[in-house]
Amino acid sequence: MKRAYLLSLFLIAGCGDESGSHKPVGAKPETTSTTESVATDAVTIYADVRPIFAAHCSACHPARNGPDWLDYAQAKRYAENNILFRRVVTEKSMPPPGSPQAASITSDEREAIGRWANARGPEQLAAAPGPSTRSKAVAAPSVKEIETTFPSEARSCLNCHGLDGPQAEGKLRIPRLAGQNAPYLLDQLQRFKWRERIDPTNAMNEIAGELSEEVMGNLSKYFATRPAFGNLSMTSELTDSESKLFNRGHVISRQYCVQCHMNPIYPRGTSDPKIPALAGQSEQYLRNQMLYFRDNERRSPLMHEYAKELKKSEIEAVAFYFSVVRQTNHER
Amino acid sequence: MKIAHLGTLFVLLHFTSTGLPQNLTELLVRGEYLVNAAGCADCHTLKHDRPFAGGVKIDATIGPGLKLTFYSPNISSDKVTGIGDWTEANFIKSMREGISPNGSYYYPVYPWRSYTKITDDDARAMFAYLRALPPIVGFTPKSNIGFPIYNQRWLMWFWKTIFLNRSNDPLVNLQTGPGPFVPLPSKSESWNRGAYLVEGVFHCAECHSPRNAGGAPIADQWMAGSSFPVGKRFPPNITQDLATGLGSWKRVDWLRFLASGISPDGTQPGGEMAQVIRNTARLNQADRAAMVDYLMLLASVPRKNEGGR
Repeated sequence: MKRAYLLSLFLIAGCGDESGSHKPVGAKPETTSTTESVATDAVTIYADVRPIFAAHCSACHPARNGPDWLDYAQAKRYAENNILFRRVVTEKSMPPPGSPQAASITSDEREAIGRWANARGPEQLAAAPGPSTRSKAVAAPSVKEIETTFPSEARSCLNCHGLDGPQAEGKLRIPRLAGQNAPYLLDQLQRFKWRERIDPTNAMNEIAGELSEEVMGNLSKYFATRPAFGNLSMTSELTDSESKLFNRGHVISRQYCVQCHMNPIYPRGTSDPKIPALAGQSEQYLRNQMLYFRDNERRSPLMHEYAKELKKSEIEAVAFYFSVVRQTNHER
Repeated sequence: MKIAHLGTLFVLLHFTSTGLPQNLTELLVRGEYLVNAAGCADCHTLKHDRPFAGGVKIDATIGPGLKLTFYSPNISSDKVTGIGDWTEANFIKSMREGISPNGSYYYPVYPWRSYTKITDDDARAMFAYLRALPPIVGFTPKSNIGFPIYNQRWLMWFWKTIFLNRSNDPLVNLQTGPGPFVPLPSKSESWNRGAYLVEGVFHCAECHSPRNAGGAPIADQWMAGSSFPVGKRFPPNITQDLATGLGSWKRVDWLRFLASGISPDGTQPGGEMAQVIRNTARLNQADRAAMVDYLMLLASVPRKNEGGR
């Protein structure tokens, strides 16, 4: 790690430019384009981000509070629990806006930290250098893959519930199923079948009405195992108004939603397998469902109680927030 | 209903101080945890952007056909309209004895009869948290307290004397006057923690116990269902009775219900219980397990729920 040591020295001394002076091993040249950064095979290891921490974080951490970012064990914990990614990349609330550290950190450096956090904070490269399993968005399944690996009954679901990332116009209000809790999916299919839950277009009721229990069980299990994607872009470049909406949704969700829907004390983030995970879900779908809960068109005494306290603008903020936020410290 | 959260607190303090000493942080974190668990915001927060500013309308049935309308006061840190000028002793006394700093009694719509069991240390933490939040200025509407009390608070002295200075917790069977929870040495640590949470902090009996003509919970029907509706529903019998209570629930059913609101038969509670579930969902696992330990040892009371289950 002599290279890292020298680089740290170089940066701490305050001279030299930061953007071009080091490159992670095995990486393509860094770009600032969001679309390319999602697909890159770059693997960032601790030695690559440590200089960034030293330059932009050590003035306050751990002296004021928080972890010592120059200590790998502590830094890795915050990579794993998603706080690092959220603060530095998504919310950009660290370094604190207005501080000299915030002015001097570049978006490339934020991206590097984001890559490192996404890869769950590796110290060294794995034996065979290559992309870590969490560091890039999962590619959409190819037609061949669909035909060979998907169970036949699931293929027709894909027509509407596409697994292919951001959804096409016209399907925006349809939920993503990939990575959802299997008992929840099964429960909802049963409710559609027995008309306890009514789809406004009646499509789901008709479709589910023809499915047997066994098929519904298989479908639920299958979709639960599909890797979730969508909001896995590491530099969620939010515009100013989007940031405001995100922050508002964040505040409201802390009070109303995360106890059951995104709570890190539970294995999959939800307090029960029959409760749906919300992170990365379609924004329009979430908004519509909250309005249905509020108006009792989708029957849930519990959700009705919470939904009726929220104004429409608050529901929209929460829906946006969950559609953008990344799930915390567990696979989805 | 809405609650405030520590994020507000840290945003406020991040840019105003050089950092919190560790023990103060711990005190505030504990205070936030307890204030959330005790459900203060469920009665004291009308709009979530004005946390603890009061003004929530509470219809309290105190007897057959006797409904009073209360409006909760502002308990934010504002000095004029809130509790900003209270001392720690004021706060502890209000929870321990139901007496406000100016010496008048609180009506038991404020569940101090349960909160009396909260220890001094926990009360201090709760007070610290409430005082650390930003002050919200606001007067609240006057409560409408007519027949038969006509807002004569001194009448509460009689009520307290008759009904508080008597142990009425058949299982817990503690002190005979107001006072903090004293753990029973014969019971496990988890049970004691559960008893503290259920009886003190979460004040479950205030809704789930039937009351006598004087409006106090009946001793030998502890948690056997409410005699009056809360909102539109009757809080049910939650003792271990098989036919009319929750005797058929297994431990995992209890744990699941407190974490998510999903009952073994798939139904969910609504109304006020939904607010409670939001509070129990954010407890840590050990505390929920402790509450279940206590709840599953409640004496079985066969009492049919009035609203029908």
